[in-house]
Amino acid sequence: MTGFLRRLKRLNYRHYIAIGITLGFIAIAVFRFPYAFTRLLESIRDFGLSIAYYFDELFNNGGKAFNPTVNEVSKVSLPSMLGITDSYDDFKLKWQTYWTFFTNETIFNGYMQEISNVLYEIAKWLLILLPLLILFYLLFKRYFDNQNNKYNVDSKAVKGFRWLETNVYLPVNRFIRQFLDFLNKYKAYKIIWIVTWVYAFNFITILIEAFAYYFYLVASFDLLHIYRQVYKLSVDLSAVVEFIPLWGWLIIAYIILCIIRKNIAISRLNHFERRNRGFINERPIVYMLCGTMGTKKTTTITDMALSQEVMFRNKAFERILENDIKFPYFPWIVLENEVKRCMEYHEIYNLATCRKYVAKKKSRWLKSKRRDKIFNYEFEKYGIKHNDKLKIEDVWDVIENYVQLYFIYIIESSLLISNYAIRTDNLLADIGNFPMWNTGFFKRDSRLIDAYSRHSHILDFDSLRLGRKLIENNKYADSFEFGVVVLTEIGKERGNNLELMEKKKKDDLPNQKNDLFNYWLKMVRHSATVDNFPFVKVITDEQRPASWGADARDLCDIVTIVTNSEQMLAMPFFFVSELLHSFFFSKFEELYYTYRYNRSDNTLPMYLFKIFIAKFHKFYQGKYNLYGYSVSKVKVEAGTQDGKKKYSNYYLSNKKIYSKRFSTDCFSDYFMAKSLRSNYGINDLPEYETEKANINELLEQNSYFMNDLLLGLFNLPQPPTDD
Amino acid sequence: MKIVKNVIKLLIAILIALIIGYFFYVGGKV
Repeated sequence: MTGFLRRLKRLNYRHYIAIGITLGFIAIAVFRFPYAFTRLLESIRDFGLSIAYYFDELFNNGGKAFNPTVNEVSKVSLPSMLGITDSYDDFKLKWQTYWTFFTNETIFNGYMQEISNVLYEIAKWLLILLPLLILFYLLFKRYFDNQNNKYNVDSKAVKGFRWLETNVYLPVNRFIRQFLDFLNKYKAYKIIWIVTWVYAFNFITILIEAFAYYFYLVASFDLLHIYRQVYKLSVDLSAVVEFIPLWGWLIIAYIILCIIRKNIAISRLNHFERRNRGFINERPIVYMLCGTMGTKKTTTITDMALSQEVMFRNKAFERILENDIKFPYFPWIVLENEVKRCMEYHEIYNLATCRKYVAKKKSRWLKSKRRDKIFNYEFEKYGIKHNDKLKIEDVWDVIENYVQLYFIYIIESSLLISNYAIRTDNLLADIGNFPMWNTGFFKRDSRLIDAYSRHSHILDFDSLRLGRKLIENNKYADSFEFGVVVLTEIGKERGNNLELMEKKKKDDLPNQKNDLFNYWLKMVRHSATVDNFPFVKVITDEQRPASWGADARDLCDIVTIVTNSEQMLAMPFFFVSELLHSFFFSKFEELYYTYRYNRSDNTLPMYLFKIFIAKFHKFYQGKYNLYGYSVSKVKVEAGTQDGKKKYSNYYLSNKKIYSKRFSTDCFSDYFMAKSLRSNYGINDLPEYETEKANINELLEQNSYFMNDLLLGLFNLPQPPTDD
Repeated sequence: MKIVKNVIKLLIAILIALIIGYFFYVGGKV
């Protein structure tokens, strides 16, 4: 006994609370819903008899042995809802009366009277509230008149509030959080609670009755009694409808609205994503995005690259299936496991080694045609040729395609190779069989992204040069085969014909003319084609198309960003929050900085107002970050710039592209180092003395133009030129 | 412009709520 007591003492005290709640719920279920048990028994009886009737009808004597009770009215006297009576004739009468009343002028006037009564009530409250608001406003204004420099000094009220926060709010909050964690750990409590309420609200009864009627209906085809089922349903549902008060239903309605609008938002964002993918698919292997500064060029190419990566995975997956079913009896899992093993041992690390691996396996099989030499495939039984009505394919050709596609599919690192960093967050789920990618962009938890994110590969430009390379014997020089190559500011890297005039093909040093980058660009699909599909895309951006030499640019489509729309929300039914936010936030902005200008202490009204605004703004901003998007109007033309221009829309979803995807100032580290070398900042720069610059000030500009003018003015010799 | 749109949406929502309310009101009179 003492041991038992000791164990009880050691028991987490939350168990007592949870048991107390459980007993409370059970007591409510028993005493507040006494009919639930009878209804449950009746439903089990109905179900049993319907099942018996069903089998009797099917296999025995046409259902005469059993009398199904599913159409009988319950013995318990629960009220019905919405005027649904047990007799259909009564209901018909009420239905007709309803529509007569609907168009009745007196009834309509009565409704109008009701509305005016409600408005009158609201007006009454407003009459009481308005003076209070004015009083509050005046008190609030008083704060601004008291100017002070009491830095971060709390008023008495704030101190009291902070005390309440520390001693009441935070402990309660912590307790609730810990209790929720406790409930997640001991799931039995939650399950018991759910079962209790589901029982009390007759939901179990409704489910059993539904099955009872289903089995009765499929055996009897008795559609006449459907109304009786509607009546029984309304009776059973009345338990929950009457128990939950109006405000409870309003909260439930709001929660349902939130779920619906969230789902609509996600499906709209997915729709935009599919349209974007269609746009990218229409582009050639190389294309260039242009636009002036700040038109979201790099953002857009990053977005396109992310979509393209997913499309490559999907394409590989699609083709894997195509090849799989060419030889439906082939044990692909055996091959896949071998490929995985070879990847671990770095025997397979690119497409060429995939092909080499299959060639080696094939030659071994040709020497000795045994099952174990062809991944245990029963080739004698199922054959080694596949006729697709265009050509005859050998099983080894299909294996070669399969291995390459599988390799592309299961590489866990990103398929992006770029000259700036891009974060990718595709998830590979693998329990040792066929792995599956989760490539959704819109449902990622921002708290977890650091745990599973990968980043794009560092682009070594030498790997894109077929000719001279910057580094002799560069170990990555021949590494590029397939993937999405993302090049920002391509013109600055490659230059155009004018800029490269001085550079010669026969120069000793590597340059843009002798590195054969353009040959690579023209032939890039050759290294990346698997099963007739090129797994390569080169996406570039530059401010103006002419910055990139015509030889390369002519291969591209030039996509120019014409306009960017303002932020929009894919989630509907958000207008009330929008209105409240715009009202409160603008008021807060105005008041807060007037307050900050005048005083530095903390007073309760401003403290509370700020907390409220911070929470509301977080909610509002969170919705825009999750479901916000903007539309860019883009113009597409051929790289030769002589064809027809086509206009299209491209969608940028906030959740996809602004979730730590890339740094907009991706080259800022260079400028940071440059600025750190300086001992002067903007505050140290000399200022003009008046609104008109004097000669010395003009000289201080170190401008070519000014220098020429001033040298001419004073008849000084011009500086020597290169000529 | 955004505010005007949202106010219009709010007015439409109130109108729909009043219409739905009328359905229930008539139901209560039957």
